[in-house]
Amino acid sequence: MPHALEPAAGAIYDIGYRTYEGLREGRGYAFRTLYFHSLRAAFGLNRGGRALWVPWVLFAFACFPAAVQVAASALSAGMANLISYHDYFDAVRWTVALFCAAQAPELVSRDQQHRTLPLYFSRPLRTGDYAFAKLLAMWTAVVILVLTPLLILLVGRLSMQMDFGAALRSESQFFVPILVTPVLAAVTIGTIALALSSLFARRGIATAVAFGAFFMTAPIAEILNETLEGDPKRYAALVNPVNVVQGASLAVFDKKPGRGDILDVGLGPEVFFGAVAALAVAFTLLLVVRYRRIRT
Amino acid sequence: MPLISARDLTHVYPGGVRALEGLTLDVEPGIIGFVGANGAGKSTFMKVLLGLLKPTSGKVEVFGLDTATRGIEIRQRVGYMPEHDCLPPDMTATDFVSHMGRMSGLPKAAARERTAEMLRHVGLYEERYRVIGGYSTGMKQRVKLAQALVHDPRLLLLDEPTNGLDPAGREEMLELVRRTGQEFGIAVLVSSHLLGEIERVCSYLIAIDGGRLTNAAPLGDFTGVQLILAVEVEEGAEALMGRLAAAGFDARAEGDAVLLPLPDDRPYDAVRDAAAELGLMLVRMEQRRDTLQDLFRAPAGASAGKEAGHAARA
Repeated sequence: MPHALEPAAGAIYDIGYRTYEGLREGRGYAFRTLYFHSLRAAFGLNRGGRALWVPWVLFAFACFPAAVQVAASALSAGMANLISYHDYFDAVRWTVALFCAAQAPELVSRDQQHRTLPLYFSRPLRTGDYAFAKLLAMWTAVVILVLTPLLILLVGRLSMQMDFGAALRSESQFFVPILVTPVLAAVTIGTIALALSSLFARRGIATAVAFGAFFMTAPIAEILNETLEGDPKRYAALVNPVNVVQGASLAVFDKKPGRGDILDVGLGPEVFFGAVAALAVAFTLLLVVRYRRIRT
Repeated sequence: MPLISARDLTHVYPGGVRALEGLTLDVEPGIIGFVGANGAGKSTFMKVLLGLLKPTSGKVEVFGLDTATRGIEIRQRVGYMPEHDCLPPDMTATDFVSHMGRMSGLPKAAARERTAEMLRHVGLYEERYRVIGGYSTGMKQRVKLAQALVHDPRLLLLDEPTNGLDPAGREEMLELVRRTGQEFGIAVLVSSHLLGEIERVCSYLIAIDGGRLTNAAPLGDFTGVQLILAVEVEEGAEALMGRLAAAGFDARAEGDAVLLPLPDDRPYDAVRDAAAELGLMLVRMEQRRDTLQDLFRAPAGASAGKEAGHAARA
């Protein structure tokens, strides 16, 4: 650049335009950048103070039962057992659903509302990369939300024991279900919320639709369960995706639903796992098709 | 090898709108003005160049790379400033431009450094730490330009960069475009529906209409062109022409208007004196670049004269 050598008159601080000769990363780097940016957005980071309220209040709600359990356990020398691992998703499932309905639009609707998508698609990234980076970020956010309280419970239980090694061995039977439950919630509730939100540019509408998918289907499942007979009655609970995750989570902990629960209809684990897989695949496809067709 | 090379490029939107119709053109580096009326296909052409839209038929290459198959490589070295708003209101300009720099492949430290440089180049200083939602239209346009420049592109696509700006803002944006092209050495394709506005900063002009190329020529071809003064009077154009001819001006008629060459300010005085002596009602006076208008006739030409000259009403 010859201009860099000529000092501009009257502006000694103007060093002129400098070209960039350094490293240029490609598609994978753009994908990772978008992933981490979106993960932070799911928790309201880099968006000013107001964006922090909803995700972090809900995060506190999700962790509250675990904190109460740890405190009660500590005060009662390990006697109080208010909530255990397999009950935990049941206790926080509406918080998780609310988190997804509120934060999924932050990931996908705002880029449509503010028409930022053309800026992303004019960079070294494919539309499918965009969709999957957002999906992976949503999944990670839900896993963090559901796993953190379970880890609080685990640490609380380990710290109650005198013999740490023995405690670790006795708790180790729960490690897999503790890790699987958040993933079940992420691929079901997270995917549904993100795919539905991607259809709407307005955040409020996207939240309302995702909210409806989780909360309005619960009474519908109850009504169907009450009115139908035979096999349709048994499968009625699956109308609500949150019930599906609850059933699958109980299955990985090898627990049965409580008596009188809408899930207490004798469905095998394979039904719940199949429903989780079907919902995850269907809504991932919806998301991918949405971004393949989107006009910017 | 041309910077951009389009061959028989056609794009039909779903629904049947034919935005590009057999467009064939070659673009060499420089500041290229891309003119045409709204709906002529300018935005569509830019989106096809970026690979945001797939051509229905035909072929287009950027840097010698086919947009249909090498989009990622092309987009690494192209900057794009859309016509519409595209900024998140709840992020700061610094955070957003830096994020976009990283999306283009810059490592974190380099993205930060170039973000600071680019925001300074476009004239944003302390404001860059505030959220974009509170910016004026002019400041938002600058952020849009900065995000298109942050990764040091070889080619910059600017879609109607002066849209929505007041006259002072337009001037500043055009000056930024000129600096980007001339001092930074980046090829710029800048679209506008106002020929008179962008012709001042361009080295080459391309006009399209209805998705077809209507004209393409270096602006150097027009530098010898004389300015023309067009005078409209309510009646008595003949008498005015006679009086001006008698005063030694090479006046001729065009419709209701009288045209005369404008090498300096003297014709203004002559018209004033002649109109006053004849008692004529002056309707309007404006400057034109006659040849340019011939070259870029409708639709761009129609607006060229009005924009280039200052119209006076009496």
